[in-house]
Amino acid sequence: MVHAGLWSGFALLLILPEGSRPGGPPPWAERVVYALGILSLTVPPAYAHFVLVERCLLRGRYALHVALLAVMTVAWAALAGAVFQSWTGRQMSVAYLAAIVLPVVLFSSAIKVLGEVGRQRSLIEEARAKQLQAELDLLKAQVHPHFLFNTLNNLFGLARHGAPAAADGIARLSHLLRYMIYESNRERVELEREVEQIRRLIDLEKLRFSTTDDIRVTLDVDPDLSDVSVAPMLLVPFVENAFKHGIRRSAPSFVRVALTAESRSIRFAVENSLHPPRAGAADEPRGTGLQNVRRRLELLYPGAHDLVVGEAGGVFRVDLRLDDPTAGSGR
Amino acid sequence: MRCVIVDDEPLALGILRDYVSRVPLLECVGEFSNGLDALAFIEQGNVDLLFLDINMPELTGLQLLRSLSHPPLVILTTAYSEYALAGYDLDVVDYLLKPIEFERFLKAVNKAHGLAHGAGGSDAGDRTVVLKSGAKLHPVRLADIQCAQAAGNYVAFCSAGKEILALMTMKDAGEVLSGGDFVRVHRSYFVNLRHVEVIDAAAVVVGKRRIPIADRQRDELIRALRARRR
Repeated sequence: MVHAGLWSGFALLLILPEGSRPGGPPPWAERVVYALGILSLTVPPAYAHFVLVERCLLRGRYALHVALLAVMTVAWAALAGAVFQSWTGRQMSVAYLAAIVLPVVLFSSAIKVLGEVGRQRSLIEEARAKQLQAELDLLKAQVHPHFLFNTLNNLFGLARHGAPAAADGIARLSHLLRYMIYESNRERVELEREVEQIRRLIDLEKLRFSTTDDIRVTLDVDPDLSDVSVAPMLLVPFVENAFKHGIRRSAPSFVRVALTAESRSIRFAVENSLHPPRAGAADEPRGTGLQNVRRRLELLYPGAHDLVVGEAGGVFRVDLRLDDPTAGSGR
Repeated sequence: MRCVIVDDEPLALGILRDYVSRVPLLECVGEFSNGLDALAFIEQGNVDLLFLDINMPELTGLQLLRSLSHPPLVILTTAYSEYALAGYDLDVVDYLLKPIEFERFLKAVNKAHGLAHGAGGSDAGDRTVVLKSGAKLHPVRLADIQCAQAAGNYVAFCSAGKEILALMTMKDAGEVLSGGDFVRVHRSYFVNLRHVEVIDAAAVVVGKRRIPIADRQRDELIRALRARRR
């Protein structure tokens, strides 16, 4: 189908153009014959060349490729010239015919190769997603939820009276784990569920620093998020990233998270304080932690999101807009 | 409500026993560590609400549920995820995922209590809900609540004498207030129709509070008031 379309387009280009030629434009029938002639001249070598591309070019046999291409073009041009002469009695030089054949052959192959590269890339993407899914499945198989959460529940029960803060932490960690391991492969979750996990994550992160540290964390969420769903674990990683890079116990630090919902879109902004890189820290460019989520956004919300990541005045800021997050391409 | 707790793990049973004892709406009339004993007890009747663990030896919670001829209201307590149970299409009030936090437990209890008092029934607007504010529990009649307002991660429930600040979302608040005469007039406000005093161009006055209101919501509020008078 695609091939037929592209070739018809090519034929149309041959039929339609050219305004005034000395002696007036040739009649339509003549042009159609001309286009058919060019097509029959170029289509067979184009497809033959696809085979060459696959067998030689894509396998690294460049010299062989060029040699075979040259032989094929010349041989085909010679053959076409002979046929043309036997039909019309007129002569046409092999070089002239080859000059028509070669650009079409090269151009069509370029289109073919580009399409191939795109397909390969999406295959790799898919393989990577499958790999992640397989890792998650393995983890699920090894940690039986019934054992895990009943045990956590028992620890929760033990800690409740002696150490209520520990009990709270156990409960939050349990629910966050359940969400990450067992619910993250759902297509969509209610946005409020995702926000719930952000609250838990923040509460758990707060356990890591003491009350005397100059660390401020704010979460500002629109009170009305009803009826909005979103791909799970889409927003949480931004907050994880902000804590990872933004909080330094030795310096004043902050993390600010804000989520607002408009009628057909949501806006999510995460800011954190910037700190000079630690001595001896791995030379990791900023924002690499966001690469996974960036890729997920491209897969799940193509053309329906806007992610702006930047830093200014000691603040690292991530600004995400999602259009109609309940829909997207993940259905 | 007379309730029964079924769980094969003693610590899990202990947590629920403690939670039930703290909520004034509930009275624990039996606790069981296996499904068979529980089945025999519940079949005698006189149980309004059942807290039921799913994964138990001998008789699982789901089997017990199917065996009951007249099941009471049921709240499932489980170590699995809610998602894992979604396929069963069970007629239950709520799922509580372990470890169960008290706020979540209370939400399920308020929901069950609302169902027991026939949400939409004649006495529905008069029923009592239990709100948790800090460490304190407040039983409040729905009819006494004038309005509820979002305040950060909290919702403030206002009645004549006091204001109760409970950690929950507006969606949760909507569930707590369901069956009462409440209308959401603003993304941050619910008002009780019983307490509406004045409606003017830009606001509705409830108790002593002026609550901003948009045109569309005002029309809706007036419609709801008319429907209630009828």
